Amino acid sequence: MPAHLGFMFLLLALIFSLYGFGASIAAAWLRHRRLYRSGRMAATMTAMFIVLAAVVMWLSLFARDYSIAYVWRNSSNDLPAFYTFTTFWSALEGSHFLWMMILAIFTVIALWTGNRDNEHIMPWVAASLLAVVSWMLYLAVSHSDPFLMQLPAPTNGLGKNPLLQNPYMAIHPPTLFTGYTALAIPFAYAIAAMAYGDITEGWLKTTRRWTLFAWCALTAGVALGGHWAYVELGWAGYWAWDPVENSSFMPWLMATALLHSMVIQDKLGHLKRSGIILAILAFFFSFFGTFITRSGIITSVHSFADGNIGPNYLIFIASLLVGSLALFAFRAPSILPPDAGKVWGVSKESALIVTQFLLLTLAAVVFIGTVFPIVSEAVSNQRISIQAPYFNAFAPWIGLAMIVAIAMGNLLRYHSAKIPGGRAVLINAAVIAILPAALFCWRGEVFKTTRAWPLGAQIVGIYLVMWSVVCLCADFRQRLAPFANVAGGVFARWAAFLRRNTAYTGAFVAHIGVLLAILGFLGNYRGVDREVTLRSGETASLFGYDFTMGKFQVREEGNATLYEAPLLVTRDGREVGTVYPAKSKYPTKPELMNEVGVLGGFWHDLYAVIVDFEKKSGETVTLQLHVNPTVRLVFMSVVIMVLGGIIAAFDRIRGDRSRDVAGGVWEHGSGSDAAHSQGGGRA
Amino acid sequence: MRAFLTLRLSTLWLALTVFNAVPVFANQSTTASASATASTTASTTASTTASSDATGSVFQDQFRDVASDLRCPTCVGLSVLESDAPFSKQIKDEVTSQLKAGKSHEEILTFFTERYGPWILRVPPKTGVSILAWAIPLAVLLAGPLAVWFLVWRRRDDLAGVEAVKPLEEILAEWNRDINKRRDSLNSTLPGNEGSTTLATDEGGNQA
Repeated sequence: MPAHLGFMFLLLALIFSLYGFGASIAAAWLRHRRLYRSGRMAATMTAMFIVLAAVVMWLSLFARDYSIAYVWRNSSNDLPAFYTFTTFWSALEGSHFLWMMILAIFTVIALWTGNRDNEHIMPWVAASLLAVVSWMLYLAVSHSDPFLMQLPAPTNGLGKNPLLQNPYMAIHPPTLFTGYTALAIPFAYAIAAMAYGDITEGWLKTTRRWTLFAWCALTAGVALGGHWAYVELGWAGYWAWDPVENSSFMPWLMATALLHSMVIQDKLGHLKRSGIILAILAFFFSFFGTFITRSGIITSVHSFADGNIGPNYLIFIASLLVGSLALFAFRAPSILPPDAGKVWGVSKESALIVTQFLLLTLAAVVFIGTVFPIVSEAVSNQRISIQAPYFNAFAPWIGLAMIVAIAMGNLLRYHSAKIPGGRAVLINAAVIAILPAALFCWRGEVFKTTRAWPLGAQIVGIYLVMWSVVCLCADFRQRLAPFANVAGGVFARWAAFLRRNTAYTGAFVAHIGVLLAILGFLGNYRGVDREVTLRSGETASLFGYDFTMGKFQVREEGNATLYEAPLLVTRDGREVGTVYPAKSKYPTKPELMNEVGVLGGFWHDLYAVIVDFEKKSGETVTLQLHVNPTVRLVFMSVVIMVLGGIIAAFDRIRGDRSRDVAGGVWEHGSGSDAAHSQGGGRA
Repeated sequence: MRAFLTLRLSTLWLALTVFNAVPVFANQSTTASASATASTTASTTASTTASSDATGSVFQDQFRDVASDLRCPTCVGLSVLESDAPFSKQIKDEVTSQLKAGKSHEEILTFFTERYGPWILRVPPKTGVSILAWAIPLAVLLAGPLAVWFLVWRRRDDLAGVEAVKPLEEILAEWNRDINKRRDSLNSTLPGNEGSTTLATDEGGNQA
């Protein structure tokens, strides 16, 4: 019964979204305001019905209603409440459902909060978004039906995948989907701008804010996924360049490039078309990622894919790309920069172009590395693997160039090849950077690696990052200087600075975050590990740490039974802490799962995994011990990056003084339509 | 093989000379010479690790090098080194025994490639279609800056053309003529409208 209700809600949502799509297209064509408002109302109803269907799903999950196949397959009677809640998105149909719900909600928010200056292009925005929502709803009622019935209802479910019973995995999908779907808004505005024929007043303000929001969510989402892999999969890393990770990284790269393109668009009015194409690509890649995850085209840990949803996705993303690019080819030539004869030269805008080039090249490498095995198999029937070493052959070089580009881009000014403060800034930074770089190498024990080549690269990289950080700080100081005379003390001075430089401060914080992330990657370029078999009371040492095994214990936690080997860690006789690696057994699954023990410090993460243990007595335990340098730094830097994004989003000046002026009018339904004849004037 | 060894030795020699300057290395980088065997040279650098047994650690390094170049056949994105899957364990055992039998890195990789195809390697081979996977990113990295240079930075050449355009007054006059023509043709199609149509201006949208 609830299944029928839920399905009916989805069907109603589909009808409303189809109507909304049609109404929006008609409104755009006829320039009919009331029709558009009707379409907007239909979008609202669509979102409402999807949310109602989601409520039905959640209620069924908590009621353990195994007559619904999805509930039966992915949960069981023993599941704790929190993970019952997150079961909503722990498999194919449910995560599609979540995607769709977030997209529908964002559609409503975007349509109701749209800038008044943009209202005449909003029908195109609504049509683009509702087209996507309609298609997702079509999939939800056809190939990916979350309310598919399973009768007679079994008494217990098959149980949730234990790998997903982890707090990071619980919030990773919603965060990532928030980022993916938020990119739909810049995409829809890009389509609208092309359909209308120009970038309109307030366009940039809206799209910039949505892109920033998407960027923050994507950053957090990708990092949460990495953290999940780190604490759950047990191979002591957080990033394996696996296809699913890559597919979440590509939209991030595109969104980052889009943000940098938008800076130029805001300041100089250039790169409008590049912004449009990047908005299209960013959204395309977020769907491409979903396609890779859903279709099972590349098998992966995360790909819980089965069924015939794949071809549907392929048709959709192909038409999405072809349609948008065709529109671009026909309409983009009319979207022009204000001054055709711009001289670029050595300047901030050129540095921003270089940054975009680097980001897009990295995206291209990731894309090739992800899809090439499929292409190779299809074309030459040769199966090949592309894994971490391939990406690591390119990514560090692009990363190094990016470090330099960040420093130069921040120091340079628009329309100018001169750095304020002159070359002295660069040279001073080069000298000052030696100290923190040496400190980092010493405290991070960078020299205790085994090989000359990564060590050399590490040291150069660490020094360059420090140089870049010092350059950024020097630039920050220079921008702070004019506010020295503001009356009212330190607080008023900073308030004045932040009010005038909100976007800059956000960018500064985010860039520091990126640099610290690179520093973290450099630090744990090479960890050390050791496999040992211990009895209770025995000690193994690794990298100066002594791991003494305590008493093997069995305990219950939630719905799992843990077989735990506590290891007391000491260094030079001083106690560092206790790390608790374990194996866990879930009631519905036969196999034993890894529960990684992590003891985190700023410089070293001590990471222990139980490989095997003597099942009868628990007397001997085989352990894999890792010392991972500066992993904490990577996760902390992500927090800083997101913080920077949030600060930048609070910028209120930007966009209000857009250089593009284009007024549009309604043919029908507008209060003053009698006075208007054709097209709308340009002031 | 001989040339490869010499190259490797000389690289190590260079590296060690450089790192002599670093205090941590100073007390350990004394024995490397051209006549030393590969294993003793490697153990000199390797002895900086926490491991107590020097020769064991050399073997460990070789093992790691090989094992991290082979993919775990049953997992996603991991090498056999990082994996504890049964299949990976078999491969690791095979690598260990072949290394002990004195086979080189390349020989072992060839052995596995012949057995499982190039799929077993973690990077695509640099032959056939797969070479594109290497060539395209390289081409982008090399050609990209040139493209940016010619398409964007060199735009200043276009300025010559910009200066040759008509003066503003002429353009405005042209626009006016065009607008008048359109208005006239519009008015003629609307019989009820006696030429009173004025060009639309936008009151709401712009604050100009």
